[in-house]
Amino acid sequence: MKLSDKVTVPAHVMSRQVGEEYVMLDLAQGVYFGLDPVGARLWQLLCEGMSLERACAAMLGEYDVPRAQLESDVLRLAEELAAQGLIEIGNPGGP
Amino acid sequence: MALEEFDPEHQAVLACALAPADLEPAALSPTFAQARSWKKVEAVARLNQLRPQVAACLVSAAGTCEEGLRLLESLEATARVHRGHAMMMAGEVLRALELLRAAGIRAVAFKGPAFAALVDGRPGQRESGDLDILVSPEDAFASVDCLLRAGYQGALPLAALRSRWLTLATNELGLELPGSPVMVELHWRLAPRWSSVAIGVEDVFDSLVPRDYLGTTISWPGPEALFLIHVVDGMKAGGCGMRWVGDLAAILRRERLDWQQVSATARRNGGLASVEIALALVEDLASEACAALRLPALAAPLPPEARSMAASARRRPRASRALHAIRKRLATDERLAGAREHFAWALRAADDPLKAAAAIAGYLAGPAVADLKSIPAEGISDFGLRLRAARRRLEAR
Repeated sequence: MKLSDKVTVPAHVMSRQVGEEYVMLDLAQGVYFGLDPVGARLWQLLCEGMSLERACAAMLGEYDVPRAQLESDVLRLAEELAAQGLIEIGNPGGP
Repeated sequence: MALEEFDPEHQAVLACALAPADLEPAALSPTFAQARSWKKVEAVARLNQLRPQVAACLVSAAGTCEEGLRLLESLEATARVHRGHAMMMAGEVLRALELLRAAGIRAVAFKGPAFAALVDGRPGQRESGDLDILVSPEDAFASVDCLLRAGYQGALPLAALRSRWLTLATNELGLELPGSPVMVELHWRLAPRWSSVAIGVEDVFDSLVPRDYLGTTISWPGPEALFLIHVVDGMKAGGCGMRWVGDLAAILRRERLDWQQVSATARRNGGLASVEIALALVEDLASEACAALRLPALAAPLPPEARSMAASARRRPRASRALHAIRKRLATDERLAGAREHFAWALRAADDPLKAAAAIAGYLAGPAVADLKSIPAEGISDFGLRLRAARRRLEAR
């Protein structure tokens, strides 16, 4: 996975904000997942249609964290989300 | 003898229902040790929608017994799913309340995940099938429209959802988000119109107080209203299910209620008898559980005004019979079966049985939900719908 990847949330994933956190439900498997406030912020930005790169840029302005660490954390979380089928990777500029 | 109708498995589940959130699970080990069948404990917990609470209490009690550990594993798996579901429902209730507020509709949550977080002190530790939201009867149609626009779907045809009979035929409407397990139950009355209630919708709205729920300020029923709502909720179903008894005990432990206000509101609405019966039930079950299981933490002590209300229920033959009937249902997991049993219960629990009988007659003279389901898309005249309802009822006999 690369930072330039654009990700989408598949139709079988439902998510709701709960306070500062997010809870997601994979409707196909009936499995629930939770995200802490920082993960929730990334999820929110991805749901707005941002690429991982743009999400990182937005979060750099919000959190006191070195760019390299943020990018690595975002990539790791995105890979975990993808592995669970909660996001799908699309090509930048693709359909 | 204390809890004499309850077998050891029902006693164990009742103890979990009554257990305060801060009770050490180990305290319940002797209670579970008396249970003869772990399978039955699981079945009773399921029937009473208390699996997460029983799982939490069973942690120390399962010990090394293979069957007990298997039950614990199964209940914990269920509790995990319910925790996720409860969080999803919590997010959805906030969204639905915001949708309604933005449409200028007063709406309030009063059960489910919000109750678990704000009163019971165990957020996420509750089985919640749907989200209960209360609106005024005059806002019923606007609320349904608002949620339909947000993607919800009703089980009734659109023409029925807009029919003036909707609010007469039923006190609530289930709306689901297609493809998801999320369901909102929109209430415009706290019980069917033939069932006497201890509190009206306007009383609830007059009582609202702001509470912080997951970082959002929501309107929440004041303590007296919350207590009366849960009395209505338990009593409308004949007192079945142990969870409402635990919920009442949690409210009584947590809140200081103005009992004059409780009594005046219930009397004005024609539901004082049901409040007295509920108080007697909670006081008896909690004190008997304390004695039988040697667990003082299960107590739900009533102040003198409330004790005198409970005593009044024990003195009056009709209320006393109702009290015994509820205890029997709790001990056997019996449910009210069919309309006749519901009507008979409504008559038994009402302050004024004649008024209840008139309400039942009024309900039977009009269309029911089953008739609304058959309303054609182009609509139907009042006369046509009444005729259909009368024919259906005659055929049902």
